Amino acid sequence: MTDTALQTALARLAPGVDGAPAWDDVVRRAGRNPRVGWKLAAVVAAALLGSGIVAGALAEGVLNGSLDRLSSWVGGQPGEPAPEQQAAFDEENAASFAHFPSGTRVGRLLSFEFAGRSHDLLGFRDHANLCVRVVPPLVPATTAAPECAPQSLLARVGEPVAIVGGRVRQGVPAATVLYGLAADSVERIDVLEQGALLGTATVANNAFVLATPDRPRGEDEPPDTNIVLRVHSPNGSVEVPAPAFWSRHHLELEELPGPVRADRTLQSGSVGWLEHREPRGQPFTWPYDAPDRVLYSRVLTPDPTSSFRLALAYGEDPDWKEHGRWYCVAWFWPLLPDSPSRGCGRVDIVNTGLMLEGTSPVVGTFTHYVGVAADEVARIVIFYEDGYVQPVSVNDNVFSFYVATNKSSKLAAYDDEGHVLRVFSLR
Amino acid sequence: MGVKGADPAEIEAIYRARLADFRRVAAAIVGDVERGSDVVQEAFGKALRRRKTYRGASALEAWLWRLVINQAKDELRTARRGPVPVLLSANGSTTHEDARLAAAVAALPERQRLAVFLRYYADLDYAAIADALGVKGGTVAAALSAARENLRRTLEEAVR
Repeated sequence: MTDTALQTALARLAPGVDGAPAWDDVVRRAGRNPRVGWKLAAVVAAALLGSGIVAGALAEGVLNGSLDRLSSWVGGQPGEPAPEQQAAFDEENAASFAHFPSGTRVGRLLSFEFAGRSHDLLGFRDHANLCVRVVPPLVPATTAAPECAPQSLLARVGEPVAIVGGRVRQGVPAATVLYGLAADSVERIDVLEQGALLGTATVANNAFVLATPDRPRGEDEPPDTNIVLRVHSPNGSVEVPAPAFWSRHHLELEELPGPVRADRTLQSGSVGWLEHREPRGQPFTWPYDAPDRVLYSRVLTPDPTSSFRLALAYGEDPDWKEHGRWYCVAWFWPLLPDSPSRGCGRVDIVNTGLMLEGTSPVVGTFTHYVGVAADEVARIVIFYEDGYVQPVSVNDNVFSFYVATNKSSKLAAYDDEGHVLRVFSLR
Repeated sequence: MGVKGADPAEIEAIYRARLADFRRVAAAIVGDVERGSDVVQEAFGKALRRRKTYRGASALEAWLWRLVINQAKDELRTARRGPVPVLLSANGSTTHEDARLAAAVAALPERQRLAVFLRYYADLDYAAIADALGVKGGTVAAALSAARENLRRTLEEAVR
């Protein structure tokens, strides 16, 4: 590739960024320490927008009501004060193995009735994530993990609503509950199933909830459910498909940006520090039955911008069909008394570079993945069909990340020289 | 070498003269025009605060580039926004071919990626890039050569 060809191609991708100088703002910032808060950044951005000098696509994203504007979440506590819920939250948070930061403020986003019972949808921040929690929970309290949306991806979704949690046609009698975040501009959300109105969601404080019993169904009706949110705002309405796991659209590896195949094969991937019993993370006594013989275990912070924790164990179990050493992981969410989910894989699996576990909600705008990476993995990158590139941090060989499910994507793992160790689609 | 200090007027002059380049490179590093502009504002605020620590070992503009690049990298770390090298096409859409190029640039090792941004988005020569990145000129040449080879290989592989 010649210098000129590369220059032309790159220029096409990132056009010049114009903009009036804002030296006064620089001087103002010079007088402050530490760095400017996001509010001032928003003011500067607003000024840039006002003068029409920001590139078109950004302006479009801001003005069409996408999720980068959530006024109710400005400040420490979203929604309305909820002192009783705050006290209960603090108690649960103190009692759980993993914790949200001390002083996390909980607000009531909205209340709703379901199956004759009153529930609140609470909101709170966890580092870089916006989290919600239904109380009393709709599922057993021991598995009611907080549900979060990464702020960095919300604006990228490009839609005025994001489903953060819920269930579709579950329970006896069957019911559908969907909840999530809504942009400032959202006035009403009609939820359609197979084109028919299922219900109208309650919308308040940049949040929404739909809770409705299942509708009568014909015997010949297919079991799959196609749910669409028709979102109304002053500028009109848009339809947002709910990306249910069974109907998420996906592209093949070759159709997505990024590498299409690995160009380096590992001979013996491993997590060296774990096998050598280095004291990474925090001590952890593995309390679970499997593996039978635990050689070493620690609890780690896979993502510094989340309070989620992952315990990692190295051991062996003679009862297992495939003998040998195994790595096991256990999820730890704040507010839950114990790990709601665990998984194990033979050490050999790390020869492929990664051991990946996903936690997919039935319906949701984001899927949360966790996993274990071999020592050779220096970085992980998610490539989306629209060209967006999302890096994933790997800390002490473990990682945790959210993926937006309304766009097809794939994961690539690289070594420190840029060689591709593994690439596969995220579905 | 003693501390020389930087003249605020010189800092302002460079800011006004090269603002578009600073913003373009910062936006490329953080993957967002708005945050890229914010990074530049913050980096120059920092430059004014720290102007007395400028030692004159390199050109003032190189020192400012380092501040902008470091600020952008800090932004990536704190906001956990990734090294998204390519932001927007002129009309807000991205073609398939452009998306592949974006992915290829994103996959470059950091030094290569930064060298590409400074060379092609700010039109800096090798010596200026070396100053801005705090490396030797030969390292810049090697990084850009490797980047071009990586991009060529990735793109050719993608279209096979």
